[in-house]
Amino acid sequence: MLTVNHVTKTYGNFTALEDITLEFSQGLYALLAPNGAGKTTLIKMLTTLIFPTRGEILLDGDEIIALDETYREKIGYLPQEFGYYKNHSPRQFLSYLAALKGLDKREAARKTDELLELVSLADVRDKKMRKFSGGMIQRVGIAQALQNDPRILILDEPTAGLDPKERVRFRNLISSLSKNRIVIMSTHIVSDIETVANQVVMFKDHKLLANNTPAKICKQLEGKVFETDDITAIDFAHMQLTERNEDGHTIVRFATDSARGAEIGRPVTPNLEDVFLYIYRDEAWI
Amino acid sequence: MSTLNVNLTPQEKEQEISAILDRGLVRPKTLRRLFKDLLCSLGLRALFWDCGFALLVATVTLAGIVFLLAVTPIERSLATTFTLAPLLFLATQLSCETAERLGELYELKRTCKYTIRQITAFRVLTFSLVGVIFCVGLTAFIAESTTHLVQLLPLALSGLFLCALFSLFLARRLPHTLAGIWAGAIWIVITLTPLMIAGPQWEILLSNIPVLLTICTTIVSAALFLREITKLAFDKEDHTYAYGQSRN
Ligand SMILES: Nc1ncnc2c1ncn2[C@@H]1O[C@H](COP(=O)(O)OP(=O)(O)OP(=O)(O)O)[C@@H](O)[C@H]1O
Ligand SMILES: [Mg+2]
Repeated sequence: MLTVNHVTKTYGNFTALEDITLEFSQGLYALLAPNGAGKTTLIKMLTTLIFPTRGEILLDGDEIIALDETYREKIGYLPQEFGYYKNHSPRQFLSYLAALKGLDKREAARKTDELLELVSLADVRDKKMRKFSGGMIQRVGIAQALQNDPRILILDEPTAGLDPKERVRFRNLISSLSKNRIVIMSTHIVSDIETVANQVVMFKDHKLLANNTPAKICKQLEGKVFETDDITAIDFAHMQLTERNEDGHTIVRFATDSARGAEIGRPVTPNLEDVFLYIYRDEAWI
Repeated sequence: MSTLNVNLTPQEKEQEISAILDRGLVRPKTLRRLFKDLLCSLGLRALFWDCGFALLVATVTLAGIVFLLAVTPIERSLATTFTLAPLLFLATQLSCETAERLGELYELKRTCKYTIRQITAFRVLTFSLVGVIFCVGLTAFIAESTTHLVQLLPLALSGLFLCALFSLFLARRLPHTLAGIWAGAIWIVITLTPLMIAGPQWEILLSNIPVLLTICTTIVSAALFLREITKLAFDKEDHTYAYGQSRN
């Protein structure tokens, strides 16, 4: 069990995260928050790149910084900005990182081929990475994070740059990986995690706002989300969520506390995107 | 110890045993063991991966020094030796460290089992050994007699280790990515200034330092240098500031 215990992180006099307490056991944890909310900051603390200003992070009761390599051996990490070597092939690159991770050479070579297959890069495994697209590089990064079969997998915006097909593959992969390990991933793309996350962690104003299952998080808006094709007819306080086109009509989703919501709109089941937009709205209700 | 007849209650025995186990389970970390581990599991290729640029800088520096020595008559042998002694080490170490820190993989490499800090510690030691060989070559080239060599070599080595110590000391303490470069610049300024301003007096001053003192300085600074390397390898390093810089 990985425990974040009253952790605060400040950069100079700017508080990036304040008094965060979280517990991670098996499953997929999604850090879902807008840009600048502190997702990367938490992830960097979880990977011992930076230290909490106050509080502590424990793995089975031991401080992760004190655990040192015993902890590092157990984690797989994909940084938000993933660097790579232009003049090397994914295979060379992965074998280098396998060495840094202290993996057995022969075992690592076998694993590398397997992982490159998994992220569908097997046919380019000996090509120089300089010619790779952003999504391909990202997939090398994902493969790299899995090399040591980590007990704790930490991914900072892993789906950035992936095409829809790879996104779906990735989602399935992560979902199956999270059956027997802790997977922590940050994202601001709701659809990446809506169906697979066991827990969604949200920050607001640098504090922990929610840490719950997607269903429970959505529940807080239950009975408050509606759809209408005539948004102009609404004369009470509401918040516009998303729009979509259907047979030439523009259908608008909106949230409201007003009992009159159902008079104008058709009630719908709130989804995670609704909640995200609702929580991180920046203007008052119109 | 074994002759002592200690009567322990079963409880005390239990405590004693668990205390010993606790101690035994954490292998004490020594630099020697770490470096052996690094060599065995990484091998030289992975240890010096990314050092191509440093090698180039080292070659250019060496060529420069050889050229300088070949074309200019050496008037002030002690002062020249003292200034030049750490230059090869500095050039290699600083270019290697800078390339590493500016590289996009630095962060990831700090989260692996063998961190880039530990690898850096290994490299620093290797580079300093190369520096020693360079000092031997340099002083052998400059010395006119054995007595001259006996005076020059410890002076060169003390220069090497003092400067190496200083650069590690700065690099570990200043939260700046390129802190080490300052050490190089400062070394050149503080050794070259007296040579430029008061050449003959500086030479006389250096020649008046007893050989025993330079030998002692070498030993002490080499020991402190090793201590810095140990810290580099084992101290936990918070990267908050460097991280902020790498973003800008
Ligand atoms: N080294 C630093 N020094 C000062 N401020 C920092 C530093 N690193 C991050 N910050 C600030 O801390 C806040 C949180 O940053 P962080 O990178 O954790 O956000 P994030 O949730 O990962 O955002 P994004 O979705 O854009 O990746 C931001 O306001 C950022 O400007
Ligand atoms: Mg981020």
